[in-house]
Amino acid sequence: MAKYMFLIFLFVSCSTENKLGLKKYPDAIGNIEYVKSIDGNFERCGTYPSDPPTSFSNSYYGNGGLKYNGEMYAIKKYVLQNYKSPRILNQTGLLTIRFLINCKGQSGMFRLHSNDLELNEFKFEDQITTQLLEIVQNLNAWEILNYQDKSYDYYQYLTFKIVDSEIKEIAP
Amino acid sequence: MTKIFWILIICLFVSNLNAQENCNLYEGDCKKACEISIEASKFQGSRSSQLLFDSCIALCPTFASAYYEKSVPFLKHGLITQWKELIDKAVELKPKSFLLNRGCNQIQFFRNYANGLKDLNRLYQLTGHFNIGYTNSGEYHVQMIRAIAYRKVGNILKSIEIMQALLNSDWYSIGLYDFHHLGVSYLEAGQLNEAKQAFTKQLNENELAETYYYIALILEKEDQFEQAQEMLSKAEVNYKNGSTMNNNYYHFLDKVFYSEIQTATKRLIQR
Repeated sequence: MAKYMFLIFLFVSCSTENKLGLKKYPDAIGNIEYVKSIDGNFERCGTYPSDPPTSFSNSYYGNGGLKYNGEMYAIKKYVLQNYKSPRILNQTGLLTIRFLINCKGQSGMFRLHSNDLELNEFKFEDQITTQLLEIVQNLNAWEILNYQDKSYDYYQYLTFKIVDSEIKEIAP
Repeated sequence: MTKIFWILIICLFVSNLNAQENCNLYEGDCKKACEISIEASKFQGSRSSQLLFDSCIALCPTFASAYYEKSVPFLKHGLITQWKELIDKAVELKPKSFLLNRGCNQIQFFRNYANGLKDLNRLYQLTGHFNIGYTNSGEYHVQMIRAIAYRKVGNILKSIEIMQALLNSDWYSIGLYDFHHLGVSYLEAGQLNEAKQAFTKQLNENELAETYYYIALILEKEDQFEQAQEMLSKAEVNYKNGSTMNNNYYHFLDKVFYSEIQTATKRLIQR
């Protein structure tokens, strides 16, 4: 039950972020706001909020693309080995999990949102979202973003294309 | 090598063309909005940039590029809902310019083949001719993306037909990965000889680790295990040298990863 409450909180938090997104922007689009009640003691290496504010978020694409030991192939393999489809029809769309990878290569601050294939907002059954969140949280071979002898936090996301509860593709 | 150099130059040129609006085409507030949007694009993704785009939209609500430019950082961060809201508005205002973007990005960024294909087919219909343009990065002619999407939704013959029509067009210069994708389509259609021919042409145009990998798969099917292993060795060497399909934002369609090459090598050794 506690797990589901946590998930609902993640969605509510994200949907509030969505509604505010077009009116009030973060320092940089893509930034995830740290919320103690969701993110606990996840260690971030930068100063948050940054002072002075940085206009650009450190993102995977500025780091030469997705950096995971074994690349997307290893991610797909791990996800497909661990995901058990609940075999519910009409559970079709795109589930995105956004998160931060800190300067030690640890992931945290997970946020979820999902869309149908027409890209309208769509909520998947908890049996799917809870599982995928846990699986993504357990991915543990993220590479560290190093630049000029320093390590930095960076944002990453994974989008799962799901058709009738089955994972068909993982992006980006 | 010289050929690849020129293709890269064309990519950069096409990419800049897409980024830069000619503000002299507009008048009054819309011209001003256009000028502000060029300034805002320099700080893409920042709060100040997004606010500048808002001021563009307030000045000229029909200025489609402002919605498009404002949408880009959302796309790059996987924020699909916010991206859709903005890119839909850009498409509504200027479909010929932005269907291309919405279609290709759905296919390349989140593998939404059927929906992306709808956009590209509508673009083709609106344009009225086959030469519907290049992706923003300049790496592909949009007909190639359309053809791959057809394969992904299961219509392999249509995929081959579009690819052939593109490659046989006298105005078209072969792209960096075109024959590779054609080879994969033939392979999926079970036409192994045609697939091999296409892959060989790809290696002559632009040597890729991925192409060697696919040739190895064909050779394995034909029980030519030694030759297949040779191809996998070449795939490995090329992957390590960086002769591979790479993009910072998403993994390429028909890409092969290093671990896949290793897995195939292990499988062949065990035979």
